[in-house]
Amino acid sequence: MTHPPADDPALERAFAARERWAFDEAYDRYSGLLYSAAYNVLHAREDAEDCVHDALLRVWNNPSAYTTERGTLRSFLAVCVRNAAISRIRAMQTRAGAQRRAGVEPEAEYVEFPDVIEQSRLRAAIAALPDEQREPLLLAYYGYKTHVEIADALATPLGTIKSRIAQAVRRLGHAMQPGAAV
Amino acid sequence: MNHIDDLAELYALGALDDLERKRVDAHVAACTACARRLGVAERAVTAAIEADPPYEPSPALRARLGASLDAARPRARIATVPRGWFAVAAAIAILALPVGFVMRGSMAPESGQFADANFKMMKLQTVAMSAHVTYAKSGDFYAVMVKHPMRALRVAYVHPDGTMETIGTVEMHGDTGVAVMPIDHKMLELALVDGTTVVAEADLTFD
Repeated sequence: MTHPPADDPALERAFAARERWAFDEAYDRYSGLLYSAAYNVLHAREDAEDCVHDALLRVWNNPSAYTTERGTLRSFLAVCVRNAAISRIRAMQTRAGAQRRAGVEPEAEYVEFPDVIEQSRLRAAIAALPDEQREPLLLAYYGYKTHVEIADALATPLGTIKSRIAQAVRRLGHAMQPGAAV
Repeated sequence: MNHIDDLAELYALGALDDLERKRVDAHVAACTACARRLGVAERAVTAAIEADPPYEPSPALRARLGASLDAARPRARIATVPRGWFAVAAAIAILALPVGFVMRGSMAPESGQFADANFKMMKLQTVAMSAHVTYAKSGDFYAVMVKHPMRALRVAYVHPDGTMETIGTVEMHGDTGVAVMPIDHKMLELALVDGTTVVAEADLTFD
């Protein structure tokens, strides 16, 4: 059965209803974004493709994973795949740590901080954050740290870190809206 | 779980661990207000994801996904092996399965440890590994632990009509694979899946 190109709300409703054509359409539209989300964390083609594959199947096989109340399917999938990639890299880091403790030379770690955040609008939005919000945000986004690890690293109470990260993400969201002044 | 509050932004940013993330997933599945807040946070983080360098997957990924979806469609029920025939079936399975797993038809309750008023534990025997599932009698929590898994495994809920639904993946912590699944209903049958092959099943009881 063929289906005409759907606008986003129609696609989102069909995806939530688990209509197979919606899966294919969503992949065709968002595969570049989803693969980039995984690759920019894992920096290995095979791992990134495995990650996208497993994350999409997990979402598709769980009928309650996506509802239209959640917002755009595109953002939902992008964050879902990126979180899956972060889980993978944390597991790699755990294994590398265990190897190191056992005296085995681990493979090179995947994590690396970018020297420059490429996109100028995002760079400006992050630069505009107060220091106490920017630092935990960067440790989470580019360092793949959990909020517990960040609180420990910055010697700051956990509740304070949670609150600062949440504020930073909200400010980032406002700044990145079309037409917003950074 | 109360409303997720600031956990929405932490979830979207990737700052939660797997268990916390699954708790959020379980909550937003039933809470529209929190689902909306999480959606807003996901849009904000997606703006950052879009600013990262772009890459394209190989064309093979689309075909692989299609094959996986087709394979996950309704399957024939796996016959339950009578206990008396288990040793014979196991010997056949050892020869038949290249990965060396043995599947058995049902699991016996594990007595003693971890079994209390709230939780039950079932043990699964295999050739190459040992596996347990611990689950709440209320049906709202399941945890599968696999010692020395030879490959990446998925945990699937086997619906009464025989179809399977992936509900978790076994993730490595040292030499032990763990899948934690906060689910909000009772599941009578779980399966461990290697690719598209069921390598073990668990029949769960709730009393």
